[in-house]
Amino acid sequence: MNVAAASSWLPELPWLWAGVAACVLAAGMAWSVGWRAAPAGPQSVGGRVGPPWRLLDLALLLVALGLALRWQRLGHGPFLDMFEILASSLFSLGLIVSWAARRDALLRAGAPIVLSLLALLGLWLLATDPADTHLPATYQTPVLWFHVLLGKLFLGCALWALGLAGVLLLRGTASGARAFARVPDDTTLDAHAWRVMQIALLFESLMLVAGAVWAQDAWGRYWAWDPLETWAFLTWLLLVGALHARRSLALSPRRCAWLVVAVFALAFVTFFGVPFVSVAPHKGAV
Amino acid sequence: MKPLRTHVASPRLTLVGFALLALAVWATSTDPRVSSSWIALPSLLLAANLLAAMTLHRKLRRGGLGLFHACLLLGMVAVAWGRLQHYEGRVELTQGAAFEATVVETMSRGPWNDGALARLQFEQGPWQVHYAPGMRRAQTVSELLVAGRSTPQRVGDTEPLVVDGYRFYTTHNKGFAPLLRWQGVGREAVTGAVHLPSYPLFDHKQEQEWRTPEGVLVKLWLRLDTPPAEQSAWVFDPTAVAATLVVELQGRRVELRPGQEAFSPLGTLRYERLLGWMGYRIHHDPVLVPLFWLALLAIVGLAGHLLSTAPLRQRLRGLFSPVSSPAPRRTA
Repeated sequence: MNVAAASSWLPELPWLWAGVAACVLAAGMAWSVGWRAAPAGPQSVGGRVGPPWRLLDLALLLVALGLALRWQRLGHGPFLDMFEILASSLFSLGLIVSWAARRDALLRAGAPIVLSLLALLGLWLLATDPADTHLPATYQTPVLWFHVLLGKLFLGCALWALGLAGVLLLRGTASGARAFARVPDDTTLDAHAWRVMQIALLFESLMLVAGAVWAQDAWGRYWAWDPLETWAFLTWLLLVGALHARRSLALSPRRCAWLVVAVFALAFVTFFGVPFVSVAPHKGAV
Repeated sequence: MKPLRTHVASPRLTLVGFALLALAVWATSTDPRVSSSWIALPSLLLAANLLAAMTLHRKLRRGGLGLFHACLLLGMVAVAWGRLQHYEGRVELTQGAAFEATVVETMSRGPWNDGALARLQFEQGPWQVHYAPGMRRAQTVSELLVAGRSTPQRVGDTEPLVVDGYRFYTTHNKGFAPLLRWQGVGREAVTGAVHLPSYPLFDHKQEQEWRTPEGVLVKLWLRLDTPPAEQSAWVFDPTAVAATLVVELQGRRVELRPGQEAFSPLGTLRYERLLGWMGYRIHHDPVLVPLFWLALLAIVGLAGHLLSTAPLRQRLRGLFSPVSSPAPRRTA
């Protein structure tokens, strides 16, 4: 860790912190707007993105500026330590759900869940050491870009599905039932969430293949069961298993929603938990 | 009574297989005493389950889903075939020296490995390792002269040397190799390089012991004239480093510069010059490329299957165009 750099003022930090603040505000606004009892009427959800999503866009802009400044200063992208992984994930996941919310009215109903997760990443970022990082030579390959991009797309889709599953599960509470009264029924939500999860499966499969290509070129093995590889494979297995279980066991929408939560939780642990037990994203492989 | 095939093809058995596979993966990753071969058992169960299901259900062997499942099965066969023929090893190569399979340390080798490693012919050329300020390793550039190729091949970091399917990857392991010439009394002179510990990882103990053909113990230390400054960028090129070789020969300590000699009643030791050694990781798996294409084909099949279902196709179309709401309301 570069203690000197960590203790000095870094030009990207004000932008990143302002982005986090906007994100937390967006989450708070989503709960205050989304948790209100819906007026009576037919089942539907709104056609335009509300203020929380627009605030998220502002947060993304600020985070993007912070990331760009850090990139320019260090000369490499945010691929390495927990600070960079959290900052880049906040931006990329936010971008994916912001894009999705403009096209998927059901996801807009799940704003409290989705934006809270992003706010959590942001708050975590504040507590993480922003020390300068050094990009190892084995990371200087275009394959890394594909691997990281596919990983973000996978987690972004999983977050999208989590928003839908979250609405379904929150509707099991009295307040949730009132707040989401006009959101389409559980079967519709469940079907939509799992369609998004199927897209997530494609991205995760591609991410694993790109990762194997990178690992072969960088470290002379395509798979070595390092912590991140192991947990990424377990996530893939759980997702595939959940898809099979959903079809073969005829599970209820609520149980299927819990499966979405489980897959997302495992993916979250893989992306943000494994770096706790591993100095680099791929332990010992740098 | 249901035939055995129906039991084997059970979708519940698929779920059991997934659970067992997850358990095996988790166990092997958390407990080093558990062999990774335990992963093979649930994989075989899942393969049998899939094969039986494909023979029973037409939809599982048609279209994108069929392609996905076929690639999964073929992929498992390819992995198994690769393990039977694979080779993993490591070797340290001295600058200017030819590759010798006899000095390779084998890490693992499949029972059906072709043994072609022994026939490979190439020579280690010059190499350089670049360091960023703070002693952080950057680019590694190593030149290898392969028999039959007119120009040296530059390898390093993400670029391996590939000869007859064997892939040689540079590693962080590299160091100094003083070239010595020993002339025993009444014997023929022998020349060779002694590999010192990895540098700069073990910069504090650049020492080694070597016995001459007569059994005389020679102790060696390398003292660099100017050690690299930690806070500056530098390039590790062993042939460009000025250093003194401190030799202890039969109880007598001598400091040698390149070209100088140390004498003893049993012979003369000449320090020719300073070279380097580079550590390589060797990997051979004949199914590496087919496995990559199988994996891609499997994902293409899966994508084709998902896109062929009407609701998803409609939904995907919907994803790329803004939704028009039947009854706008204020939501988050």
